[in-house]
This record gives sequence, structure tokens and C-alpha cells, in this order.
Amino acid sequence: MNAMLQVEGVSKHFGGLKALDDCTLNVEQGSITALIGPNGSGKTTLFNLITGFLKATKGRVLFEGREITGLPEHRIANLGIARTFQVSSLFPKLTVWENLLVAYPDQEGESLWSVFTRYGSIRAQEEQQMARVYRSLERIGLTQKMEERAANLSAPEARMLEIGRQLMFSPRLVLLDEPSSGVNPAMLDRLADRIIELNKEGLTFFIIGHNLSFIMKLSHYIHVLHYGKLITSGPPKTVAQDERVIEAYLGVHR
Amino acid sequence: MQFAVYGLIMGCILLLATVGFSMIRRVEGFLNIAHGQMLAVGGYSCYVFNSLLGWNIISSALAAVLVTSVIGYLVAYVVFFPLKGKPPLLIAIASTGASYIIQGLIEVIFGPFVKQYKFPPMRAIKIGDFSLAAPDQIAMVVAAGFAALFLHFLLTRTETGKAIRAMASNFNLARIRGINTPRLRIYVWLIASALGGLAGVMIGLISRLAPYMGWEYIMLIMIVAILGGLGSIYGAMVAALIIGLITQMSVLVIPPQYSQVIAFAIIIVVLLVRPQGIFKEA
Amino acid sequence: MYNILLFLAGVISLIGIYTLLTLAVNLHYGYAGLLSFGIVGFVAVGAYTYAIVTRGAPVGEDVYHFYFNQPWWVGFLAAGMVTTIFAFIIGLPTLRVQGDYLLIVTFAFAEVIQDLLSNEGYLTNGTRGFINIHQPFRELIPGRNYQLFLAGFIVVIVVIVFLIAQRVGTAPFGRTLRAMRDNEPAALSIGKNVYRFKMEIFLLGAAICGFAGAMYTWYMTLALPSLFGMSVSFAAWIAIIVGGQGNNKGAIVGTIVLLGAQQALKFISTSPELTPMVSSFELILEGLVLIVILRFWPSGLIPEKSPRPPKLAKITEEA
Repeated sequence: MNAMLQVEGVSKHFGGLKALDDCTLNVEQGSITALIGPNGSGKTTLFNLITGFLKATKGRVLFEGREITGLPEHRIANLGIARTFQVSSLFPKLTVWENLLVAYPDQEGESLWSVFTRYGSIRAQEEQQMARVYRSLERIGLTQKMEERAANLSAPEARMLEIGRQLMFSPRLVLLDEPSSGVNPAMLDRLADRIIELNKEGLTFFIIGHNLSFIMKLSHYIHVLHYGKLITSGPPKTVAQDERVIEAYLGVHR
Repeated sequence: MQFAVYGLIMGCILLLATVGFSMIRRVEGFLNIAHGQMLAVGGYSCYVFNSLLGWNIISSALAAVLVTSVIGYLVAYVVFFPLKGKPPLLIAIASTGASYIIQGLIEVIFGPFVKQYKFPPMRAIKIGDFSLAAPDQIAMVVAAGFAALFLHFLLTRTETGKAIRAMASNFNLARIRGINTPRLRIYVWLIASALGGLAGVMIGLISRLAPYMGWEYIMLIMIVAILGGLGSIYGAMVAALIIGLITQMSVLVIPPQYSQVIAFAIIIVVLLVRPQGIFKEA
Repeated sequence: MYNILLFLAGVISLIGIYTLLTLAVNLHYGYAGLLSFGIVGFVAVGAYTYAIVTRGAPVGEDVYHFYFNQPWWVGFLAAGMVTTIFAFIIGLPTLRVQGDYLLIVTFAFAEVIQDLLSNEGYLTNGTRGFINIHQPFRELIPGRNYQLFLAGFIVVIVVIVFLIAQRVGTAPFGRTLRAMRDNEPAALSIGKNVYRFKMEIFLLGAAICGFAGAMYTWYMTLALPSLFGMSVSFAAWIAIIVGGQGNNKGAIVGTIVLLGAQQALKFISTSPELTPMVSSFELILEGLVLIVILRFWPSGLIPEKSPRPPKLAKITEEA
């Protein structure tokens, strides 16, 4: 199995604070890999580093064998890595299909002048992009609700829409930041099923999670962070029984 | 020299008016355009007590401040409290509606003409050949100074004050921690409106009352608020004095009609150079 | 009968002009979430630009120095262009920062413009203003029939602007604009240049106001500083809140309702003693309506409708 994403010896210092300390981990191609750890263990910082939002103090990141450390965000995005955020990135008053269509970068018709001068080519572009939109809608299971406003979606549907928007750019690796947050426990299964289906289609997932039962059910492999350090990795069963993991979580909760 | 004194007084008036405006911006999160009308309410209330009922000026002023603070709170209760949670721009629009209503009522009750207090103009105190300031002008500056100090002590030394600051920083956290937010909100509105009312009384003393005075001043208030940093109370104080002095003293160099233009130019410059204003929104 | 027609023509002209303002407010606020209170400032700039450009030499006690004696359509275009320049200058620093600042700056802009209009006599003839405004095609249509023509002319322009606004709304530009309005950080994170979008719509709205300003002088046949007070801005705002934000039809409906009510009130106030009272009551009423609508029907009479998805040319397998 290939390592799609390789994080090697990555550290991130903020002043005196070590947010990440010499982290080395891999995400296998075709897997659903999770990153867990108590609050403040550096999970989101690692995501930010991988996507180019932050620069690493030390170490490097490789994607499909290529080094991507230090590349600007939009370049990394163009290489095939997508990422969702904890905070909603949806546009509530726009419909589902609009939320997807608007994500296309560098569209014609986005400047006022072209709205009137390039009527024909705008229409052609819209029709072309709608094809992608429909495809995305199918993959996330929201075709029926395409004309619904984003604000009216249920929490798991909203999460899927966020993923769906990322899918418009045909990524190969998707970083999900806390996909289960804000989702009713009763609906979590639905969300998990969708992610599994997308994974079967060939998408690799790297997920930050807090809801341990959700993560355990979903992932093939788990990395555990604590105070910026990687303390263990392994399949869910092994990690669940690991002394250090239990201590990390319980220790913090005390 | 007269201009400097006048500038100082204008600065004090703006200080009182804008501090109240900033408090509301901090705690409630929107730009309360109706705040300008608190000046009008204060000025006209004082007129009622002074010219219509014949009270002396000090009692009228105090009564006016009290009346204004209550009216300000009532307006908030009826108009703004039900809208809490809506986008702040929408509430700002509602505040313009409230401004309209208040101005309309003032026009209906008092008529569209300007009014004056029954208060004799006082001569300036002279030191040697130097004309310093009239006793009433000095009294106003002192009053404003007291109000500012009082506010400072209130906010930093008392439990209530600290609770208000906590609420201003993070409303929900304060509520969860047990701070009595509904009651504190009432206090904030009462204090802010009272300050506005006091400013209005002072305007009536140095100049005249007109139904549109609320609109006249709200623009200056907002400019002062930006200069001082939107939501910063101390910034508002400093900025008020600066703008007061600049607009009055610029008369020495530039014809007086341009004082508004100068204020406008100031904010454009501020926005270009340092949008957070003098003190950041702490 | 003819007189009723004339009266109606006047009302339609006024409603038409205000509809342009409300459409502009819809573009700024309904589509882009920009709180621009200074609409009347742009209207004033447009009106006076038109007046100055089409003006002849000063007579009698006029004090103005500048006049260009151009035909009406030059003045009309100039009105739009000059207003756009002003909007650009204001927008440059202000659109970069939070929405609150735009409110204050545009508010201040309108006030300052009104001040300047009264004071800069060499440019604007001060409080005397400009009378005998050059109306389009006036020479062709003598007498009172001109009112009817003007109403029709204005309606045609309004329809054109409406179509423009509709097109802007449904194009990718409009979609991104609404996205930016809904969730600006998210729009930034998908790579949209938010600042550019804001500036472009701000300029468009301002230009429309500038043209409306010129048209206002056609209707009034004069330009005075007192015509361009904040009440004009607020009328447009009340109209959009009543009619419905975020959609152009709502803008039209709101304007008709508001101005219809205002004209009706004017009808009622018959005696001259009552007139100042009535205007005060009008203020109170408008404020009340605004607050009540914001409280109970914040979407307005015609809520924003989501557009239908574009059709696919052919169903493709390609993903």
C-alpha cells in the first residue's frame, strides 16, 4: 500500500509554545485515517500545515511522493488535497446547487463587465459546470434536495454539502476537520455511511475527530496526538486499548 | 483663545455623547443611530423644566438627564430588545426608524422652530487681560470631567462595572457565568442615554435647540467613535476632545462651513491609515 | 380627465426615479450586504453634474462660474461617470473594512455633499440652486404634454435598469455576491476576491443613483441643496425593507407602496396650517412602519426567491 500523505518530523512553534513536536505519520492511499487527541493536542494545526495555511518550523510534508512543504494554499489545493473546516463554510441563503456552483474558481461572468459582454460564453460555462455539480450531488446523495436552501439542510446533509463542494475539484485526499461536530448522534450513522461509500469510490480520507465511537467505527487506522507529539498509531482496536491513549484522554479530563 | 475654550467644550459634549454610543456598540453590538436623538431629548426636556416650568437651570439639567435615561431605556425595550439576535445592520436600520419617530414626536410637541433656555449668557472670567471662560462654560467642562471619572471608576472599580465589561466582551460567556445580564443591559442603556441627555443639555446651554439636532450630531458622534476605535470607551473620550478642538480651532484657518468636511476627511484618513482607531476595540 | 392624467404622470415619474434608488439599494444591500446610507449623496452629485454640464451662462444674481452648455445626453452620461468616480474614491478605503464603517462613511458623505452644495456657490450656485434645467426633447414636445412624455421616458429607463439588475443577480457575479453576503470568510476561503466584488457592485449602484439624480432634475426642473437630504436615502431604505430585500421586484413594489402612501398623505393635508404637522406625522409613521416591518416581516412583502438551476445542454457522462 502506498503512503499518499507523508508527514516527516514536522514541528510547529508559536513563540515558546510547541504546537507540534517532531511528528511523523502517514496516510495510506485509499484509507480512512483518523487523527485524534485531546483538545489542544495540535490536530487542527497539523491540518493547517498540510494545506499550506501555516508554515512548518521544521520537517516536511509529502503528497504522493512530491514535497509540498511551504507551497501556497491554492497550489496545494490544485494538487488534489481538499479540506473542510469546523466552522460552516456554507452560504445559508443560497441553494444547494448554488453552493456547489459558486465554488468554481476563475469563472467567467464574475466581473460586472463580462456579465453583459460575454453572455454566450457564460452560458456555455454554466452548463458545463452544472455537469460537475450534478455529479457531486449524486456522490453526496443530495440530488433530491438540490434546490433547497443550505440553511434548511439537516446537520449531516450540511456536512455532506461541504464535502460535496470540495469534491467539485476532484481531489484525491480529503481532510475533514471534526465532521461529526454539531451532528445529532442519531444521524451520525448516515454521515459515516456516506463517507465510507465515497471512500469505496477511491477517495482517501484524513479525519480529525472528537467523537471516539464515530471515529472508531469509521477508520481503518488511527494516529493519536498529545501535546503536539504523536504518542501512538494503529488500527482502532489496538489504539482503543493502548494505555497511553486512555491516560492522555483521562489525564486531561481530570 | 476663545476658540480653544469652545473646542474644549465641544469636545466635552462629544465625549459625553460618544461614550454612550460606544457603550451601546460594545454591549449590544450595533450602531445606534437613535442615540443622537437622546441629545435632543435631553435638550428639550431641560427646556421643559427650565423654560416652561420655571425651574432653575441645575435642577432642570438633572431632571432632564433622568428623564432621558428612562426614555432611552424605554426605546431600547420596545424597539431593540425584541430584535436581539438579528444582524446588527438590520438593528441599525431599525434605529433610524426610531430616530424618525422621536424627531417626529419632538416636532409635533414642540413645533419646528428653535428654542432657547431661560438662562442668561454669562460673561467670561478675566485673569488680567486674558478672557478665560464664563462660569457656565467652566461648569460644563467640570461636569463632563466628573462624568468621565465617574464612568471610569464605575467600570474599573465596582462589581457592576466589571460585570458590564465582561458582558461587553462576551455576552454568552458572561451569562453562563451567572452575571445578571438582563439587569446589566438595563444599566447600560440608562447610563448611555443619561450621558447623551447631559450632552444635549449642554448643547442647549451653548447654542440652541432644534428638532433636527439629533441628526446634526449623530454624524459627528459616529466619526468620533471611529477615530477612537469603534467600541472603545477611552478611545471615544480622547477622540472626542481631539475632534472638538480640531473642528473649532480650524475655524481660525478655514472658513467655518467646512468643519463637517474636515471631520469627514479625518475619518477617510483614519480608515486608510489605521482603521482600528486610536485604541483598538479591546 | 387630462389633469388627472397629468397628475398621474407626475406621480409615475417620481415613483420611477425612486425605484431606481431602491434598485440601487437592493444591489448594495440586498445582493451584497453593503450598508450604504449615502444614496442621496450620489443622487446629488449626479443631479448637479447634469445641471452644470447642460447649463448656459449665469444670469441675474447667479454666482456660479462653471457651465458647459452641452446637450442633455452628454449631461446624463456625465452624471453617471462623475458619480462613479466619487464612489470609487469613497469605496477605496471603506470597502476594505467592516460593514459598520461603510454605514458611517456613506452617511457622512451624504451630509458633506449637502453642505458643499449649499456653500460652494461658484460651483453650485449655493442655495439659489439651478433653475430652468434643460430637459431632454423639451423642444419637440411643447406644453404640458411633456409631463406625459417624461413619465414614459422615465419608465423606459427604469425597465432597462431593472433588466440590468436582474441579469446581474442571476449571473455568476450575482451568485458570488450573495455568497459573500451570506458568509464572507467562506467566500474568501474559496478564493473569491471579495474586495473587487464589493467595489464593482458599489460602483454600479452609485452610477444608477447618479443617473437617477439627473432624472430628478428633469422632473423638478431645478436643483436645490435642500432636495438632497437624508430623507431621500431613507425613503429608498424603507422601500426596500417593506418590499423585500434581495430581489428587484420587491424593490419596485416597496417603492410603489411607500411613495403611494406618501402621495396619499399629501392629498389629505389640505390646509397650510396642517402641512408641517403632517410632515411630522409622516416621519413618525415611516419610523413606525420601518420598525414594525423589521420586527414582524423582516423579509418584506416579496421575500427573496432562489433562482432555478441552469439547464444542461446535454447530459454528459464526464465528471
